[in-house]
Amino acid sequence: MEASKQPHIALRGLSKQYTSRGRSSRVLDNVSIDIRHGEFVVLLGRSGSGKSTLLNLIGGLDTPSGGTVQVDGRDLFALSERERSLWRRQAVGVVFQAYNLIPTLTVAENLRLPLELRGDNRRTAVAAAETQLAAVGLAGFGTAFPEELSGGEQQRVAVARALIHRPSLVLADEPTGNLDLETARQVLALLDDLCRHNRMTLVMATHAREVMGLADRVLSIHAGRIEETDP
Amino acid sequence: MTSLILRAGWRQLTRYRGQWSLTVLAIAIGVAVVVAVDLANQSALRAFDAAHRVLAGEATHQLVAGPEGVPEAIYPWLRIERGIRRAAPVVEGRVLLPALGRAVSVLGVDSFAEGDLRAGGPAPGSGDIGRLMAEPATALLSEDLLQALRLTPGASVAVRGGGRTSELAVIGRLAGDQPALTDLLVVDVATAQELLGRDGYLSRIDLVLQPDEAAALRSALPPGLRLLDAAGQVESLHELTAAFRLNLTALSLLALLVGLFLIYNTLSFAVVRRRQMVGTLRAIGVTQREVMRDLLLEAALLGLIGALCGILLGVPLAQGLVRLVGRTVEALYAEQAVLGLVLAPASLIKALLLGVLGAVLAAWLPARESALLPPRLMLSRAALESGSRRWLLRAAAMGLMLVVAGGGLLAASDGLLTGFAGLFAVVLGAALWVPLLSAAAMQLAVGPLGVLAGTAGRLAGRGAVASLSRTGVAVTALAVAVAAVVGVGIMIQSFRISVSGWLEHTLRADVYLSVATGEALAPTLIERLRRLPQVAEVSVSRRLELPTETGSLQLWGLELGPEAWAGFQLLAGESEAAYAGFRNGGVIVSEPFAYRRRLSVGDSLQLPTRAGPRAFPIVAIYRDYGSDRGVVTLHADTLQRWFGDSPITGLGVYAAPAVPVQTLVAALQPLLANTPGVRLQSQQALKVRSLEIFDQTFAITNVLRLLAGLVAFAGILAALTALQLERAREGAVLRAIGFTPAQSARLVVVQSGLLGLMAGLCALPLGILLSGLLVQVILRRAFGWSMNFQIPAATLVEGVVLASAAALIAAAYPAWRSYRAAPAPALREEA
Repeated sequence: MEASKQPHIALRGLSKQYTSRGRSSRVLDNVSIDIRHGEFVVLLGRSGSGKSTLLNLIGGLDTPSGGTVQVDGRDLFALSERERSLWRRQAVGVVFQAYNLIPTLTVAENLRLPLELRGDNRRTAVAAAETQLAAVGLAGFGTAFPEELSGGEQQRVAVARALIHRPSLVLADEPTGNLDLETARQVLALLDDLCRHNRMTLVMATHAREVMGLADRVLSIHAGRIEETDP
Repeated sequence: MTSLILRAGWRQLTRYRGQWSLTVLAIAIGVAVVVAVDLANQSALRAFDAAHRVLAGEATHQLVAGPEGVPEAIYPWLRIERGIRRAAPVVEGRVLLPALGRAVSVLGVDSFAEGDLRAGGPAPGSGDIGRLMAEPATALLSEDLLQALRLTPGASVAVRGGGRTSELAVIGRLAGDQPALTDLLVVDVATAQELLGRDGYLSRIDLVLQPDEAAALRSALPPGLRLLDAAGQVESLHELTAAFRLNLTALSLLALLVGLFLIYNTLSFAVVRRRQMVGTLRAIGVTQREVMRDLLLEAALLGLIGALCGILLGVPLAQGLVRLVGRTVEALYAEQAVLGLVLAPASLIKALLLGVLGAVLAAWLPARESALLPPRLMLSRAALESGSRRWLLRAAAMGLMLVVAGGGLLAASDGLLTGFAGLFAVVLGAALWVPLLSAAAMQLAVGPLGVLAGTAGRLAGRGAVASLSRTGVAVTALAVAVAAVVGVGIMIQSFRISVSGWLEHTLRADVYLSVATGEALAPTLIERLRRLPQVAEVSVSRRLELPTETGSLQLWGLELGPEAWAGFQLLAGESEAAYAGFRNGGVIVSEPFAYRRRLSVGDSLQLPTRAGPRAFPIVAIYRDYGSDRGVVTLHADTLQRWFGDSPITGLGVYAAPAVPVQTLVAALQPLLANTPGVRLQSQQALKVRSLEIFDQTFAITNVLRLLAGLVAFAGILAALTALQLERAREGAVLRAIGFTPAQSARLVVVQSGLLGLMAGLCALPLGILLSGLLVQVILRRAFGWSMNFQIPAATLVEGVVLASAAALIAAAYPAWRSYRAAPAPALREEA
């Protein structure tokens, strides 16, 4: 298969099973999908349907019970834990429902963290953080601590942090779940805009149907299986 | 509802078993140390009491005289002329058992006069006490002696005393297994007089008297005889060892204090971790009181489990401590301290109560805070953080008040107990500044860390600062424990340096001769020594114990020249005038003696001489670390004049100019060949041996120091594990944005190391403060000793390294967990 035709993410027979108190439940069952470079894919489903689990598996944050996750043709789980971490550092940005900013770092420092982890020098990281903050409409908030911001502002910082190192893959887990409708629309537009502008693949888990209009593809998860739905 | 709240709390406990186990372990070690020290103290006290029961029996009074003893003619005078029926003569002392190479106690009694006066008769069927009197040179032996000598009744044993060796026929064994009935020979009065070379004299006469009989007898006593209250003798022994026991108790309480800090820390964690649960419960109508009750019940349960484990750990620990206490009591007080462990139920109940009540007390504050916080704030993390910052300030303010109160207590009273209370208050108060100071210092460290390691470095620094709201108490506990290690270390070092300096100054003679207990040096030997060309001077010393109302008094008679006089480090009194006064009948007293009796130069000291009570002028006070009981030193002529002949117990031999010590020793040895039991030690060997005894004495202190450190280590481990648990989500986020497992673990290690370093740095001023108070207040009040205060740099470095190492070792498990943790479950749990 030619490199250009190769999907960015290829899931093959992916399954995940949790066992608790002797009872096991299959959250994902034999999922196989391809996601192309620069595509905006929405994972739609009810709470507990396995959306977050699928995102975690794509990001290498969890290990599958069966099947494979290939990124640009490379089996993610053939890598060591450290190699997966280094891959995430370079190529993945994550946005969480609960923002998950580091409370002991300022807004600017939260943004600089992925760049410094990648090895960028401090001067470059500071400049990039300022630019990125301006891009999400929060110029001048760099010295604030996360607890001093509103929920919408925190999520915009989280989006900025997820994209600052120009990852090829952005994973967003219910990024608007804690926000009001208007703020949610702003954050979604921002995420969509920045990802498309930078040709980043965006995989977003949500149960908000209004997102469907923005997506290239909508995948519904139900009882651990995936069905493609028209956007 | 109530049972559901309890169930929710219980599940919280069982869910985090590992962490709670560490807390229980910390309580258990704290309680174990208290139990062990308490049991060791109780065992020592019981051994003294048992010794008294055996040696003094049920007597209410003792009739004593000067050094030579009570003339035996007094005994028939008492029984016939005074009509006192319950009177028993006693001759006691120490003899050497050549077969064992050690001295044992000998108790000479009158079998017929004994009646029910004294414990420890012969074991049933093992002999007749009447035979002691009927058959000369017969003895009853304690069971341990029979075993050590591999003898059975019917055999004979050689004993050495009064300058000669005798054979005793063993006619039976002593009944009972009290510790005081060990290393003991019971013989008839006449046999004892012969063995100890005290013909015609008794050590004392034990009497059972009513108060009016005692008063009548006291007024009719011939000169030189004194009637002492027997209870006072036991009391004085108790008082004598009280300071030592109090010191041990204080060290054990220090371990418990560290344990209590940790309970507080754990419960604070519990409150933080379940803030949402508590907030929700409050929101649905659970009262503040119910929340508080739940938390206090949990604390009581932890305390109970910890205390029970502590008792199980404490008993074997006590066995070890009893041996150390015995050794220390023997070194400090020259009392035979063959101790057995006594499991006193009161000690065990006290430990249980201490564990449970201590835990409830430590939990009360966080429980109350949790209960009083409005539910809305309980659910808000920001409120929690600002509450923690307030806590730092409040703790510092409370600390300041405690320091002031403790300082006031120290200044207001010069008692030992108030000294300890003041010391605890000052140290605890100063310790409450640790979280605030650590926070400030680590805040300053954030900048340099950022320069060194970028945002990850700042993250480590700020994380450590933020964690103080959770780890502050554990860091304080670690700082207190390390301060104890540093403080007691400085104290011991200061003490050791002072003792070493004192030995250097005091031991002037080149060679010292001493005799085993019960033996004496012949005056002719001294003359022969003086005639040797290798000898420049010989100083002669006579030590004797003088029974008084307030216990036994040590008198030291010296025949010394100016060179030996210069060996006294005078703390008060001008040297030349004091020497003249000393030669003219004045006395010099040791520092502990002067301190205990509040005596100064110019005062007079009343002593019971053979011519009745007489006041001796005090001409100087000298430094003496040899005994905390205190010693009164007289010139040999003064001693002879007022107390009669006393055996020579030691000699100091000064080499003639240019004569090496080895040559002097070689010259002395032939003269001593026919004088068995004499020990010859060079000045150097004596110094080395003295410092060895010093180190032995402080062995127990070091053990307790170590245990306090162990408690703190368990606490910091519990705190770091809990912190790692609480920060699981943050760790997972970092992993999600690219932290490798190794980086996550490193973050835990760096933060822990920072906390340890801060604890170590804060422990230094705290330790110096503690040692200053120990040296200037506690040792002074407990033993009457003053000493030079020295701060060895090595001890300070050791403290910082210890705290950092403890925190780093404690971080190993949380770091390993962080390394192994999969990020997804933590993210899922919090989403």
